[in-house]
Amino acid sequence: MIRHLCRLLLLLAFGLVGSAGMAAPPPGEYQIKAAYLINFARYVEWPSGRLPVGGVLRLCILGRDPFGGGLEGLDGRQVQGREVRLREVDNLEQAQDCHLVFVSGSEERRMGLILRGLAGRGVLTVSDIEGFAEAGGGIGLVTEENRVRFDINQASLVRDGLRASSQLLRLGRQVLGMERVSR
Amino acid sequence: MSRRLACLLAPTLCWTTVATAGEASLADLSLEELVRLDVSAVSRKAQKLSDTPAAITVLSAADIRRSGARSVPEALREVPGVIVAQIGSGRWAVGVRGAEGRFSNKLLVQIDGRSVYSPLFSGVFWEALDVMLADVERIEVIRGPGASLWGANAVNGVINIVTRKATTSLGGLVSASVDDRGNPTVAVRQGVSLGDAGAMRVYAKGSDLAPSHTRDGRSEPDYNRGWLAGFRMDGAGSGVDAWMLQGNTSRRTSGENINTSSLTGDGLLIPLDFVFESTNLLGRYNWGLAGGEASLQAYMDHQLANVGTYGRGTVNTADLDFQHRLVPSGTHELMWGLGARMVQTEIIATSAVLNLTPPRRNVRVFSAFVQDEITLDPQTWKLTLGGRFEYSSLARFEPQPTARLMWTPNLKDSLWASWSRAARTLSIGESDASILFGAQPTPAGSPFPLVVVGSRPGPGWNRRAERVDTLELGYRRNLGNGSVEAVLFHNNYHRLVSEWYDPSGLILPTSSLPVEPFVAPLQYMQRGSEGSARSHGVELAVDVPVTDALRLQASYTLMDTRVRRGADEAAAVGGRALEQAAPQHWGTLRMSFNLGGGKEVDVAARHVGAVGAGDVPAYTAVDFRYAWRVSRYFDLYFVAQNLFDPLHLEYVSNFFPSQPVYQPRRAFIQGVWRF
Repeated sequence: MIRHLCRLLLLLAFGLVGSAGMAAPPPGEYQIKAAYLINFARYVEWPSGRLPVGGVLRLCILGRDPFGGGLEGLDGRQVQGREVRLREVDNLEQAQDCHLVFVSGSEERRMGLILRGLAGRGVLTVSDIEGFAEAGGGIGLVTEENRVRFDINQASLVRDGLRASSQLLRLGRQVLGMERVSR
Repeated sequence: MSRRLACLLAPTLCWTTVATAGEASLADLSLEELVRLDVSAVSRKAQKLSDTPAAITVLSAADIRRSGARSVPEALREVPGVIVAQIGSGRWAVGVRGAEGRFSNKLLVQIDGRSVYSPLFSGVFWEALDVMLADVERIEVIRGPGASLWGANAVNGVINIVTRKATTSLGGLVSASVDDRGNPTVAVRQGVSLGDAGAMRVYAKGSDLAPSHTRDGRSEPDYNRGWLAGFRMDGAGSGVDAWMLQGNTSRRTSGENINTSSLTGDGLLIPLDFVFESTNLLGRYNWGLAGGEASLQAYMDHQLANVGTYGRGTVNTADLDFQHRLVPSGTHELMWGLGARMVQTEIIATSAVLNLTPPRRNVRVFSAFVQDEITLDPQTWKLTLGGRFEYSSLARFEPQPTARLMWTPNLKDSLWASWSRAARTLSIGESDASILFGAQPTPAGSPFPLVVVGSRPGPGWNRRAERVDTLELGYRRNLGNGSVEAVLFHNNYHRLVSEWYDPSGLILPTSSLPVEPFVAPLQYMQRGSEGSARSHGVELAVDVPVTDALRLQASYTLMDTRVRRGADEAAAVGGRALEQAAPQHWGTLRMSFNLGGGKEVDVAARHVGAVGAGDVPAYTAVDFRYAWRVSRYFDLYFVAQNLFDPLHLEYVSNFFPSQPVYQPRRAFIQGVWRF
């Protein structure tokens, strides 16, 4: 009985494989996340002392690069009149020079340390580590029902002198620390 | 559904849509468009674990939900290396890498950092452990010794149950389920925001669990019912400094039948009722210290276990734990910590069958750990050295070191090897109890028709902790949205607690015995630390998305435990107990279907090999789950377990001589309202 059921289910499974093989896949998760990064650079304003107009916006990945080359297309792009320059960093000192730091999932165990090290330095931190915005990160990417959404920790952004545009705040799945700001 | 159909019928149509949203143009999409874009395949937690040189499985809230589990042990069934067997109503035997048992004494279990491992019996009273599963964020299962970080008793594994922060459980929840025999479970939770201060949730749960069956499938030999209530408060989640406070109180009563031998040699069933009560309070604070991150945790815990007319045990624990993670400097990443624990235990024997000397113990444990993660070659080679040094007023100083080497040649593959040593402190019961089990008939020709058998500590027993040395080799491949994992392990156990016949033979007691037939010769079993054994095995896990709508997850464990060759008889007895304690192989296969429209179907099958102890035959069970997200506020689940199997035995409880109980087909329906 069980053997029959297993065979049936396997057939069903492979039947579905076959059909899915024909339909081309929509963009991958990290392609979408890469597109988000450039959008965050567009919709967040850094203090002019930290990022002068005409300067270079350093977009860094801290830890292992999960984008698989998907970020290369962003290098050299113009955003708010600044040139985006991509950089891979592997320690906190280097990350402190960046404007936007994507904290890779490989750094999950060090998340608290990293957030502490980058706090108050005008760095926008972005990550897809679970609970990132909750833990005090700037923007957390969240995958929900096959879509990538984001949570914003407004209190963290304000602390770091960053200004998120109203559009960004409106589209966020959750905006944390809002009460504090409105007061 | 119709879009999918269109894609199936005319693939070219779909190609074009993808091409326009191709790589180059994705970065030009606006935020509004990105938010609405569907992802082809979602990567999973496997990626985050690729950095860890240990055999770790993390069950997310979604994994737990899809397993159809209503208790923690059920959720653990699909973790490789973990063997779970139901031994009664709400009673479980859970083991990691063998060493299964009613009190799996080589497995440490913690809820939000609070140990639920009982020092009385060295193990977890699973029948007394109840959690709000809906508010569990994840369950981390670390196979292999976790002692260097978690402390004594993490010999074969550590299970960390982590509940959600109160800031992420705002709003109300009511979950109600009823099974095919009318046994209900109801859980309610209300989360409230405390504004700037943070958030808080309060919860309560009550359940009357389904009874097991006897071999004939008719009578119901056991029960388990009780309630749980508690709260959790968390500081506002905007800063990096964080605090948390939580408290729980619970009471459960459960009953089962104990098999005893009678004068005529026929088995006699005696009902045994348990009452468990527990209350605890835990607080934790995280802050920045010397550029790094520190955390201080304190908890108090009171536990009471009343075992029928035999006795009552209480355990009061006060625990303080400090951890500090330093900023990485150069190639070193250092972490250290200090801990202090005071445990007060008392066992009051209300029957002369059980005797404890001394009945009360005050145990003080002081510990320190340090771990250094050394980068040998950036992003490629890492060496982790660590150790825990524990002083206990009850046991000798046992250093518990570990060394782990990890090679990550690329983003996908990681290979690691480790050596660790861990210790298991003896339980109060093992160390101090004398028990009379009852009369046993003797073989024909013996001068006595029967003898009374008892167990007591051997003379001059040097009560040292059990020790294990473990070698592990692991490989993990990240498939982007799936993963493959294989772990080889070898355990070498020393000083296992074992029992053997008192060489001085039969004793003729001078006064009457508290058990039937009151006057009989006594044969004692002596306890000591003479056992030794080895085990080795392999754990495999695969997690692959076959299509958008179907995910396949499989796990398989093959292992062998043997008494050490050349061991003398006393050593062999202890090793043999471990040899017989668990099946030699078991595996699971899960198919998770997303049917669209918020409907999910899960089919899970598991096969568990035969267990030597209790002559438990191999069995296969298939579970089915259907879930429907009716609306944003309401979920409906239907779960059927043991679909093709009218009745099976999973394990025979090995601590008390309990009556073996059988698991029938079961089904339940559950509704979850969120508001």
